[in-house]
Amino acid sequence: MVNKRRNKDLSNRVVFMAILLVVLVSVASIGVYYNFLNNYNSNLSDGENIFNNDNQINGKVSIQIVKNEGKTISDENVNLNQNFEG
Amino acid sequence: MSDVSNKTIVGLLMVALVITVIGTIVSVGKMNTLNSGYLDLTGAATSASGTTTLQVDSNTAIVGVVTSLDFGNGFINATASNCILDTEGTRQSNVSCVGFNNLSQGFLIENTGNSNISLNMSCSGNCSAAEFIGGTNPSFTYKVTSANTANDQSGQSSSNDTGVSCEEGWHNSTYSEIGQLDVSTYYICGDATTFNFSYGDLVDAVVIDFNVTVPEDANQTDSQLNATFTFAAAST
Repeated sequence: MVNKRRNKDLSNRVVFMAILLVVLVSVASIGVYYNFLNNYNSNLSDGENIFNNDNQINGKVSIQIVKNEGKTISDENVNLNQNFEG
Repeated sequence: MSDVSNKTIVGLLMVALVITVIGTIVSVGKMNTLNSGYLDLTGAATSASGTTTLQVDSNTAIVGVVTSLDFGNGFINATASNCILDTEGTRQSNVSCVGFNNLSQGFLIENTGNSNISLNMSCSGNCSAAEFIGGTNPSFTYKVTSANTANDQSGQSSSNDTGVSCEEGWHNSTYSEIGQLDVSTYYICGDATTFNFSYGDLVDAVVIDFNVTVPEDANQTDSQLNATFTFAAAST
């Protein structure tokens, strides 16, 4: 009688664990499968840009006009450094 | 572990069943969305021949090869009334212009996409001659030249151009005042509905040159003055 009772307990545990395992595996596999399909779908999307290029650019023009210290250059071939020193 | 009743086991079975059914529905539904856009993709061949499809999308892209033009700093020689600078390597001699950089290349912009585009430009900052230079009768002008006839088109990502890159011809091909660009965007090739800036390797670049006349009484500043230009491309 006792052995029969123990066998039933053991059998119930095995069934319980098996069903629990089925539940867990089902949940896990659904998650993995869903992720896989989701990624597969997005990788196939034709809205994805492979090359990301600019279609707008900026350019800058700069100048600075400084004060003429009153010096005069009469020869364009003159060495400017020498001409303005002293 | 206490005894697990049949009711509990049945309950767990029902939970497993429900989860499995829902998961199947969700997964199959997800797979079904693949069919909506990719009917040509098949996991298994149904005939001896297969179909591979490839779509090359239109790509609008420009590259600024030269985007900074610095005339440097300098002044007007006391013997001259003004100094003329440009980006085509023809700065006046030191008799007039003292210390400025002699630039030989303007902005160089290349269509690196795979479709014809339109190109417009606008300016912000010190765009007018009065703001950029100041003094009596200053001038700050620009002109647009197809790269193949520009003074210098070096630096392109591929080959230098050999033909006109804007099919209708570039707008403002002679020097024009920049002030107008301060208030509106100006198309230098094509327009909102016309796309004539080519992408072919030998016809895909443009040079924008600048010419500056600095009078003897031009504004003297402690730092550089800048005019910033924005070039925007568009296609169908």
